Amino acid sequence: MIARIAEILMAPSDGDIGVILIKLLIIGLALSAVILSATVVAIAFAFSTALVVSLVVYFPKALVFKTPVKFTGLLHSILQNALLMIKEIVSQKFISVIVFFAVIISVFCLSIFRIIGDNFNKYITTQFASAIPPNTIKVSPRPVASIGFLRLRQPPGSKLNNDELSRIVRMEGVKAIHPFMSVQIPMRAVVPIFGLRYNTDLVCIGAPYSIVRDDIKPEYRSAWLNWREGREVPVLIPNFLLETYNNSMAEANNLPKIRPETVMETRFEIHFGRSSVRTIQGFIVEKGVLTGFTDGVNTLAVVVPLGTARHYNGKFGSRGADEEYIYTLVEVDSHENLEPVSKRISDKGFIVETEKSVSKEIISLKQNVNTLINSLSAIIIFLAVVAIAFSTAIATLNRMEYYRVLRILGSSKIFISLTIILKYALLGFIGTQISLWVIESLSQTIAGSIEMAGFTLDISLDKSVASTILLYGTLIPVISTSPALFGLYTKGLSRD
Amino acid sequence: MLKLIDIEKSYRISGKKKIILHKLNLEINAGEIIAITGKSGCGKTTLLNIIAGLTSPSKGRVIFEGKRMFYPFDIMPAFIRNRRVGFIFQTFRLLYNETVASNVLLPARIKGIVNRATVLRMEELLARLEIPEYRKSIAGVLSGGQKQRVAIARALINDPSLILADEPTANLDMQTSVEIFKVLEQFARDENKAVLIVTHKDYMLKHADRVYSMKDGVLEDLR
Repeated sequence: MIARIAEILMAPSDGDIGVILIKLLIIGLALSAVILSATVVAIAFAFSTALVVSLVVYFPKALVFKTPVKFTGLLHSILQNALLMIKEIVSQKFISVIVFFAVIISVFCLSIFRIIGDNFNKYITTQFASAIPPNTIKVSPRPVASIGFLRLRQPPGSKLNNDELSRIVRMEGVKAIHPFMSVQIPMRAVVPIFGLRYNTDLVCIGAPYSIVRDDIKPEYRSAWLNWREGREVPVLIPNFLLETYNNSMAEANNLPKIRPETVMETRFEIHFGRSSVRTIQGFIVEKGVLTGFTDGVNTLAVVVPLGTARHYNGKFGSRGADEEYIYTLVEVDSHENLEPVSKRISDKGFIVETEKSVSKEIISLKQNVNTLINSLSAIIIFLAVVAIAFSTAIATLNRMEYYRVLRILGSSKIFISLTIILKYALLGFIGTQISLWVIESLSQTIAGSIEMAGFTLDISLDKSVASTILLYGTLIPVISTSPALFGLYTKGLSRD
Repeated sequence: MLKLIDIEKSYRISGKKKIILHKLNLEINAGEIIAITGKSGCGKTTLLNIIAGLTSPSKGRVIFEGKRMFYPFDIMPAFIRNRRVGFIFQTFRLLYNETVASNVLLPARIKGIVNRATVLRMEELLARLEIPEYRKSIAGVLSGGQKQRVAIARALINDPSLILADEPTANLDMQTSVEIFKVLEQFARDENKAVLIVTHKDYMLKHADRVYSMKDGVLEDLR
């Protein structure tokens, strides 16, 4: 809803006074809604805390002084305690507003830096760093030189087949291998859309379960591992392919952009042995289901189980096609073995790539930018903590006389402490929540307005990061009340 | 009503133990006005703090209306301060940005009961203290004497049995001081309340039922 409001507000008004008035009205209504929500939350918190305090204090008092326990007395106590708490919450408006905005701005800046850092790393990974995990070597066969249709003699390392894989896996320092096989037969997908059958030729790659396991929707993992002819084929789409489609084909042809959550578990037909160009007699039509999106395979091909690729290459492909791999990832047991194993495989004639070899410059750039972002984040965290802590400490210390008066007149330390803590917990919680809410709500609008070929901005915070920010955003103002609480607990009644 | 038995209070200052109150015994009965005088720093305010439960004695017992004061979680002292004790200070200790009514009703709010009877009690107190027209005035704009009257009304709103007054007229002129004391005396006699007053003013020392002088943490009976 906020995204929709933002869209309306960002639309040009062309000097139309009516449009400007509507925009002002929307802003007014939005602010009122925020204030109303914050007030409701504050009142709810005040009454809940008052209830707890009243229960904690009322019964021991009744027990100690042998006063009768009355339900109406308890209700009165809750009401008056809540009123005192609300009075405390709305006190010192100016400095409270400073604390509130310090929280909002700090959380907003921190979140933005976090998002920029995450997107930068994602961009580097997507665009430059390939999908080679650490301590892993990507091994590809060397292309065979040819003159027209005439192939020259096959040099060593031009074929990556089962024999070569078994030699590699036996090498010292190799922990595991994860081979990928391209499907070398004509293929087509038939996707039902609004009652129509949309046909498209397919390029497919068979991926090992070990690499894509986490990307497959859990209920389809067994289907991926145990696929047999005639069973539904679980399919993954590389995020790289999805982003390329959204940013190029969809844009160019006015097609709708694909959002992963809306197409998940879409079912379609896959024709093995048939494409718009060529049909193999006896081609087979299987049912396919989209089971997830992956970063583990960085290609423009659709990903199917390795077993499926092997099966149909064997059935319809050329001789030996079910034994040849497009590349394999070789996992080494320690970082020290990365170089020696790479060299031994390279000596066999294969092309080897490691994360290191992809581009030292890119990795260096990535590290430098990350250091810069982390340093700026650290500075913002420091400034935010100082700003929030000082404002809160000053606000509470300024209020010490009021707390002392309350104490002299019979408020218990527990009640006064809870009142102070509640106020600053609320300021921190609501401020942080508003910041996170605004970022979350505006993310799609902002992301949509920035175009980068082959890359989609992700302006959202991970839930665990958001929870951590919310926790600290609430705790910092609360902890900053400790000087006042300390004074309250340690100092008695002075004459002045 | 209140008994202090062998009360000792000491602090550690720069690692050295300093005794503020030394084996102090005192009994206060309803309707009595007791005055305490003494030099600055002799322990008068500490004594008031102990009576009100704002601080605990290092040794000895405080018996309030037959019950021994215990301090964990501040529950009993807070209850006694709220319902059984009224405070009056030299510096008034009012909430200066709030109205007279809001100030006077604050102890009742802390008690958890603000009803028609409480409001009537407030109106009656303000009338007896001759400031009924200031009910809706902001406390900060009142004169010193008026502020102290508001403080007295606040101290009496929950109908306490003991009023602790810490140099209540030190900042006021002689005439106003006499008026304030007369008001306190009147409440003590009419409503059978005990008043413990720390003062240096001769008029008050002359009109109190008992007078003590405090020296080096020991109470000396002057009258």
